[in-house]
Amino acid sequence: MNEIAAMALEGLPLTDVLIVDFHVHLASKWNGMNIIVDDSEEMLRLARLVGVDWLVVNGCILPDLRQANDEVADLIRRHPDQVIGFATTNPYQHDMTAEVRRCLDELGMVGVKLHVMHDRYHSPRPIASYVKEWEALFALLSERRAPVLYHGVVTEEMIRAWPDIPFVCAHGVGSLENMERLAKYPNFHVDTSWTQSPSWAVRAAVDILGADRVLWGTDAPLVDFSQRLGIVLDGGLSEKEIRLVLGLNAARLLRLPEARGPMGD
Amino acid sequence: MHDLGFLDVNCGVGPYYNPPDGHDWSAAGLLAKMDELGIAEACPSAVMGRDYDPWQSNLWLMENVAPSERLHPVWTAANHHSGEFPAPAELIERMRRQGVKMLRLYLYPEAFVDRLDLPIFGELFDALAEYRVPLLLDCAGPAAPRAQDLEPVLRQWPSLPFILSVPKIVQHDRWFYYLWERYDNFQVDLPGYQSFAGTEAVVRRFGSRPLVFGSRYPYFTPMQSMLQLAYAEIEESDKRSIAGNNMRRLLGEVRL
Repeated sequence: MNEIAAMALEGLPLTDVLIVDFHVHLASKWNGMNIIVDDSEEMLRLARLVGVDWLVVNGCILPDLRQANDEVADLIRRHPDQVIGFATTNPYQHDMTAEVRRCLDELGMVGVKLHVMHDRYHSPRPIASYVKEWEALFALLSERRAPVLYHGVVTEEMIRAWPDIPFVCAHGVGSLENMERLAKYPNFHVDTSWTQSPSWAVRAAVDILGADRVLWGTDAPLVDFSQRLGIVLDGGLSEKEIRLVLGLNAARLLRLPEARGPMGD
Repeated sequence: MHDLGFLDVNCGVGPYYNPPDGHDWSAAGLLAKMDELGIAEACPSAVMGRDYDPWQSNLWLMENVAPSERLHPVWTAANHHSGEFPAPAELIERMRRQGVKMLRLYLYPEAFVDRLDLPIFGELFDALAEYRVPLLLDCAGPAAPRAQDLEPVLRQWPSLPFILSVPKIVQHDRWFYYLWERYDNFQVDLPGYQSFAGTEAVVRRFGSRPLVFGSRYPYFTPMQSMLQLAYAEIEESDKRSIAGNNMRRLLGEVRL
């Protein structure tokens, strides 16, 4: 067993490994779920208990996305050393490019979260049909080289068309077959927030994409940080691979200072 | 390593149609994983019991996993009406002879049994309740029972401990609270109970009784549930109960 796993089994915060949770929502009610922790301050406290250094937080589960972005900005202001903000947007609510530009330039955010849930229930027309809006948004993100965490919404054509945007597919893109199909695009990544995680899933993702394109994500506050740590720490990875997946890959995409150094170069 | 006395109530061994490369699903492989992670005891069943044949899986299990201080074989259950599985009285007698103290009922759309169909399980549950044999309900998707399926069972067989295992519970758990308020014989195992801070919420309200440690090994890594417990903000005594003592108590009450 690696030393990081041994420390985790003691229930100690993992202080000697950089941990970035790339997939975190504002703590809020959502989708009818029994969200036990609906206070983001409490969520951040629980993250510190495990040793999560940075949480990449988005507000996509709130109904009013502009208000959600403002709430993420508030959280960044209160915890600039723990929270990284991702804007959230959809074409039904506002001019996507203008809202994301506001988030990047005025609210201190560094990426975008797109979620297929915005395409459900009474949508005026399919989200994919807003071609001009997506083009304008991705042009901005490409110029900034800002990462996109997405659940649905983004297509293979988009990934191919925008090579300067790092796309991170939430929940491991659904299947290993999808992962293999998209592996040829260097800007394609996955996070580890599978809700039903076979013990071999993270190893398989690393084998397909390489250890530098798999990022740790939990989907908190829906799922425990600790559960999702387990699938990486006992996932058949070397210690170097574990460090890449848990934090160094995210630090590189987010251009965090911690990305520099012997293993993060 | 912090030793909480882990007893894994939900794990499997044996032949499988498509095992992943490099994984050892034998009893020796299970013991090696237990040693690596610090799991004291486990209750393995044969994974072929789900998709192939329950009784053949039990025969395979007894040839390959002898009861010991660390391994407590768990047989896969089924109803007997087609003649493919022993009738309850015979089953109980065979369990007694072979030292088996627990059963697992797979409820999956593609499994031997695809739903908790009460009329066909009444006789089996009568027998299990008489001898207090714990029953692990391993289920998923549309085959998974809900409160309307479980409440009649819990009410009719209060001395039969039911342990529910589903691979994914992410906050759709309100009906568990309803059952936990009313029935002491309803437990849930940890690996599917991934609810954020859910362990703490359950223990605050009901104590540690409703939860037991399981891993769903070899499909899941035991590390998932072990860390859930290691980092939970609950008393050490509650961690020990969930890790193993709740299940040891249930196994100790078996009258076979």
